[in-house]
Amino acid sequence: MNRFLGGCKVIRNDEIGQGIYLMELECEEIAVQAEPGQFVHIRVGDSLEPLLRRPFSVHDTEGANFKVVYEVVGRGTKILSKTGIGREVDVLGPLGKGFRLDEISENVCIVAGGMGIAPFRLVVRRLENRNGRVLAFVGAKDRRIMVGDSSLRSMGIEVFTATEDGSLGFHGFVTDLLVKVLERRRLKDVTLFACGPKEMLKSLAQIALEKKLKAEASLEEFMACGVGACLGCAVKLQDGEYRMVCKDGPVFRLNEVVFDG
Amino acid sequence: MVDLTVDFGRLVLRNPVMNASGTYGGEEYVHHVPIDSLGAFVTKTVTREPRQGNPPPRIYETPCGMLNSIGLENMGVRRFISELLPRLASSEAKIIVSIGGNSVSEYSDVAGILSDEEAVDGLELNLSCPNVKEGGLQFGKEPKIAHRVVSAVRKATSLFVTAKLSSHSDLPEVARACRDAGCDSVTLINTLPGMAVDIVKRRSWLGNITGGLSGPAIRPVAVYWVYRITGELKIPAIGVGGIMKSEDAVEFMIAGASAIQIGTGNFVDPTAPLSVIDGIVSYCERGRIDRLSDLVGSLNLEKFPDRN
Repeated sequence: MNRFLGGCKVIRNDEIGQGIYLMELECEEIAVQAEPGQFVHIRVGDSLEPLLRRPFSVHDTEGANFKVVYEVVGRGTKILSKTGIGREVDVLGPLGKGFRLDEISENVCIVAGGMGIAPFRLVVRRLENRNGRVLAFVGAKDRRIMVGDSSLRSMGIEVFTATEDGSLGFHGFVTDLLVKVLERRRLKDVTLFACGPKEMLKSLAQIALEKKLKAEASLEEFMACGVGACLGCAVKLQDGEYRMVCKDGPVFRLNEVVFDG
Repeated sequence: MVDLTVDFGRLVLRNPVMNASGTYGGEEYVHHVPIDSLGAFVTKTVTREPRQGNPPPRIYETPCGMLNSIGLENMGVRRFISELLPRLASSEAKIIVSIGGNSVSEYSDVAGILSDEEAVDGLELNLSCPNVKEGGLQFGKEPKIAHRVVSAVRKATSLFVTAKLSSHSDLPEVARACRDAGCDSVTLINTLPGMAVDIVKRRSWLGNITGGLSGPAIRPVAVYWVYRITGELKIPAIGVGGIMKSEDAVEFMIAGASAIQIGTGNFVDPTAPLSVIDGIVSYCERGRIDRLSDLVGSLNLEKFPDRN
């Protein structure tokens, strides 16, 4: 793989939910090479503050463009949200190892919590021409920050939504909704692809264990280099060893992750 | 043509730019920076036995800098020699192995083992490790202990040796001890101790509670120590701390650094070593400096003519 490093032109940068943006960037190398679940490492500006790059899942690709979705949570994403169309953003990528699409079961359930929606449009796109069903479970705190559900629905898959305050869809956690639907539909032979807060992934790991489902999750850690050099973004696996989210992941088999490590 | 050669006696570099220890594992950056283009490649700190490293989180970003508490995760010197070193061996760049330990004998053992390897051109002693047998104080904090480590290493190897030191009030005395014990150079400076707190959870942002601060935030401290130590002790220094671009590298050299290392800067701009080398050349050409060594320590200390 040929890792790209350089300026990418901003094609669009729209607020799609409260404080949540979708940015489309022009870069054929990344658009053509990106695998579902991989990420790009973005430097939001030339200034020394904030200093480090920020990792973002590749949300989707379209021709020579790729997209990221992000929530404004700090200085870096604030600057990114103010970046105008036509400006260039410094991007390194694609990086990391994504979801193992060649190991999936007949049915795939996507479980996304909050900004965990980020990698899944590209995942669904790559699963389009196969037999077997794809269902998506999208959770958010409330409807104002629920993004990506209608975008996935427009790709022709069944989408279930859950909000913690009940303002949209199921009232409760997305993992509880998943269990309900799995049982109601008597779905067997399911692979779970997940991304979201640690607590969500933790309960999902339990569900996968009880129901004997294959499950993979995209993890997040503070990251410096993004390429496996600094050994900063360590996560402990069941074998007792540390792996790097940036290089060995960000996608790991959920049953291999130690959540309290 | 500007002569970029750096002559440390036991080690001669084609150019003054290295990566800082801990920032290149092996070949992660070869897409952007061929190892051959560096004056020297500095490895992550290697210890006698493998080390698992510290619990996460290991990284936290701070104003113009970052904290890390990696905990010297490494495969141990034996696996380093069999797995990583052969891949670096064919490079035009000099290979400097950073070594660490918890006792004086661990430093000298590792130095001795590496000394037998033809591919190794020099050693950098990471003296910020705790001296476990004697109260846990860092080797680089006390002149007597630093002297013992360097002497033991000097007995074990004839390779180029530089001691990497952090900023503290006894640094001049420690640097003097390192020089007297046979160091060829000092690397100034290692990360500064630091921490940051998550005020919502009332927890440190780092799994190890405290860490080391690097990046542009520490550059003035590093430049200060390069200026003071090279001025007072007449020992060559390798400058490191927050170098992002060539102007920063030139600043260190004017202050007295014979060579420089880029650390955190690699994470921000992976091509930094190349642009720093190019920028140093342009600076010298513009200033009609034929030999880079003429720039080293060229700080003008005359009074400002327009001030009293």
